[in-house]
Amino acid sequence: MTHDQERLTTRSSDVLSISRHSEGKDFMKGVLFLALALSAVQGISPLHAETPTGTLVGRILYVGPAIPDQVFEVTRDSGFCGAQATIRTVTIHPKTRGLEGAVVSIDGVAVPLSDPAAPALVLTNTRCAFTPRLATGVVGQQVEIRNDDPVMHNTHISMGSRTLVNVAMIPASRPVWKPLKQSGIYTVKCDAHKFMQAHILAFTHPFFSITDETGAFRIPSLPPGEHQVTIWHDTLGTVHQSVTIAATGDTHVTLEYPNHADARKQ
Amino acid sequence: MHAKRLKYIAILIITGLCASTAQAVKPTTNRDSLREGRRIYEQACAWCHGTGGEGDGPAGWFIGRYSSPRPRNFAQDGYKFRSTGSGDLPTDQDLFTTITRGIPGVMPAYRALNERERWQVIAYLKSWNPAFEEEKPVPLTFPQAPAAPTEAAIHNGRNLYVKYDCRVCHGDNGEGDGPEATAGHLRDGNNLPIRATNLTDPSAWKNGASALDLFRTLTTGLDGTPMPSYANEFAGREEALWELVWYIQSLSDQQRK
Amino acid sequence: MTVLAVVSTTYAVSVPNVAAIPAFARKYTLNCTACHTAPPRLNTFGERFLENGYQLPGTEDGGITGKQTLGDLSLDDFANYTGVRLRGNVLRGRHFKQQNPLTAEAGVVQNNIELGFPEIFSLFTAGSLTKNIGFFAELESNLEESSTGIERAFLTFNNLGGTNVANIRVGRIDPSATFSFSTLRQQLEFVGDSLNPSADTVQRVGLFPLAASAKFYGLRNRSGTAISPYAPSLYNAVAETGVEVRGRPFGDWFMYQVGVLNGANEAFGDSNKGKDFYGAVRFDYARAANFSASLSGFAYLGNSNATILTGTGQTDVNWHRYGIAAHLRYNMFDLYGLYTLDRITHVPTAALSTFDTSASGLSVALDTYVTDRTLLSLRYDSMDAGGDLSQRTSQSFAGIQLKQYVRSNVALFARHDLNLRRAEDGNAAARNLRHAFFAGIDIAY
Repeated sequence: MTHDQERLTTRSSDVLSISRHSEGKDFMKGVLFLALALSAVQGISPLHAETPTGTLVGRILYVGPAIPDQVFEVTRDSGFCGAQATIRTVTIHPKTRGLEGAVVSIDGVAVPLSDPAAPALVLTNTRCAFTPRLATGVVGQQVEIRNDDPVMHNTHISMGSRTLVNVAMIPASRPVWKPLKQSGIYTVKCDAHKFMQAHILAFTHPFFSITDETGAFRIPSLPPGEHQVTIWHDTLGTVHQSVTIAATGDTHVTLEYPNHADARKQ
Repeated sequence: MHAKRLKYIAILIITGLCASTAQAVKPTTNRDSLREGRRIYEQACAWCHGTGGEGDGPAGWFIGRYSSPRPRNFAQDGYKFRSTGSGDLPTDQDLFTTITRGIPGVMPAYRALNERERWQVIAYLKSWNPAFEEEKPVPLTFPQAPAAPTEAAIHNGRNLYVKYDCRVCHGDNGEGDGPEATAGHLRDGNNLPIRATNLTDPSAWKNGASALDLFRTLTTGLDGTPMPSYANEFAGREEALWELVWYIQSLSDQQRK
Repeated sequence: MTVLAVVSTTYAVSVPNVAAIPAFARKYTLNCTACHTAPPRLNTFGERFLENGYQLPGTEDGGITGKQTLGDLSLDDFANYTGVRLRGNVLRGRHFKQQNPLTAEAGVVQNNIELGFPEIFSLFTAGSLTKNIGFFAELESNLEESSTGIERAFLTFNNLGGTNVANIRVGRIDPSATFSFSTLRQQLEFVGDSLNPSADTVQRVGLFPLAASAKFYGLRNRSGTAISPYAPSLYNAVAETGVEVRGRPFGDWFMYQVGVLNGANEAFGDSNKGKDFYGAVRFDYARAANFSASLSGFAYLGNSNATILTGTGQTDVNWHRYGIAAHLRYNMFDLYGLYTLDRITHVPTAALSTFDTSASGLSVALDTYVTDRTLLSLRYDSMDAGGDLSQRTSQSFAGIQLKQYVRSNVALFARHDLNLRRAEDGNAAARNLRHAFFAGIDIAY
């Protein structure tokens, strides 16, 4: 795992220093594409109304060189899955240059989750891919695993070397439910189809958001003051930046992702 | 007088025996038992699992070399051999079973540690992973195996073996040579290459070779490996799972056991 | 007649031999790699198993096998105590600048290629008999050397006075078994030398960890037979008869070892001239990730354990050795080395002008897995020889070997040894051999 340190500019206002922790594993894997990410954004519970709160509104940009999509030869069930599987690595909005499918979160704010009974995250095996390929949730939230395909999959969710669940899913299996156990980045794989990959990010707080197709995100109900923002993207890695949330209203910020190629050079 | 003394000695001996049997019951964990667990661990276990329990002992690398398995990292890994659901931690009894039986090929059976010592080591190795405090592993219930398999049942088992894609990894004849295995696609939780078990060689089955062991393996899966849990597929259809178990046993000479 | 003389005078010491004991792997249902980095090299767990008298470290298992037994004996048990190893070179090639004198070896051969077959067969029976009592016996047949016999045989009594306080071995033992540099556990196997004992000349060098070899020219044992400078000897012998005590009474970091032997180079029995003594200490560190290291030192004090020829006949001398060794193992690397210094005392003053009473040697070896199944071994050997000044030649060799494991207990190997000193014509064996090539097989069951 590499730990690069980088500087990067924020478009809107001033230059901030950003520490970057890019996980080599994620670079190497160069996995997924996030077309259906929005379906995974679940209800974010607002804080109690008494405390003054601000909202972080912003956009994540990526202006680095294009990163080619990953193409896998399908060696199994290619009659159904197709001869090749293409995994889009980085999706940029043509107008805004916004990066789709980055997860923005603010950790370190000790807030109890007011609504632990969030609806289940549905993760479906569809056409030899996971839908969605990126999901976010809170610890304790159920993941519901489904298989819509006429071929067998296994859905193998793990964090590091610890398995969350690894279940066989034959065609028309009934759904499997499993709660997220700890915060962090879960990888989702199918051992039978190596090209099938997804991620679930689990948090112990409600302050997270997935960028939409224009790269925009919005995190409401934040206590005012300085916070550390973490931005994660499965191909581009993790960056951190501090922001100061105004006591009321929106705090706008535009962040540019470090140049992927430059980061690797360092 | 003499007989009385003998009787007295006999009572003493019997009392002593009872006391020592009582000690074999799982002792409560306290600072002393953890200290004792640590002493045993450092003499018996640390060579492979490391003094910090991270699976990085001085002899650990050579077990699998560039391949699976590596010694378990007690601080963060999941566990392969359990009676609990996929992704869950093992029960203490599961850990006790693994220490007592060993793992064919890679870990010796530590029956030479007495029962109390084994429990003390278990308490010590669990102390590295805070998840043992937070999660309370609950064992699944496993039914007794029905009477002897019939030919028809084994035949059904073969169909299930095909239906559930067992042969993709374990091969058409169960020799561990399925297409995904021979293509080198299989990886363990540390992303090391891992082989599919040869189902014709029960002596090497790491999670045991009895019918109940197989039933359990298919139900729980082997966490940290590509072997998934089939609990969901066979829920309410235990008799079908027994058929699959009998078919797998029929690939070797294990069907009578 | 000449041929007969050649055959009868060709003398080679028995090949040192410690193999993986497949019986132990069977007994505990383990792969070889549970105890070995690569057989016969032990990993840290295997070292502690050996020290514990063939019982799992941290236990006094006394040979629990878990097998069903029929009365006291069963075939299962037999296999759990017995193993065999077959190995040797199927191809030997040696490149000489010039071969030794015609009278010494048949034919003038510049490039000598021999075909062979795995000629060394060993039978082991070993294990723990009951709690803390173990035994080891090894029978070897070496067709190349026409020798068959008990190589080593001893009893062990373990954990006397407390866990690892005192462990006793008695019988024909190899003192360096628990040292940082175990003489007999080498990836580059010993290749026998050729010696003309009547003329005390070496006709062909032996390829051996030279730090552990005898290193003296013109030295004889007490029955008058020449000792090859390439023979494993003293503390680093294949086996000597005696008794030793060893333990780690203060924890894993420190080991002591003291022993007394009938005498180095005593064939069998005891000529009662005097006993040899040795002592060793070893410091271990095995608490870091995938790493272990040790540093050890020994002193071997001989007592009339060799003779030299003087004008007046055979004179007893005392032959001592001091050595330090270390090992470092990290992930796939296993690095180990030994430096020894030999001294001979009580040499008659008249002989001192023709006899160098000191010698030293250095051996450093590295084994590393380059793939899952391919072991690369390198060794550097250097000897600053002593003894008869007219013959004494110092030398350095480098060896490289690739070993491919077909199964975990079957390996094919190819090896190349190179003389690092300037090659010369003539009879000095250490100088006329330019390089040698070997290919062979190693099977253990």
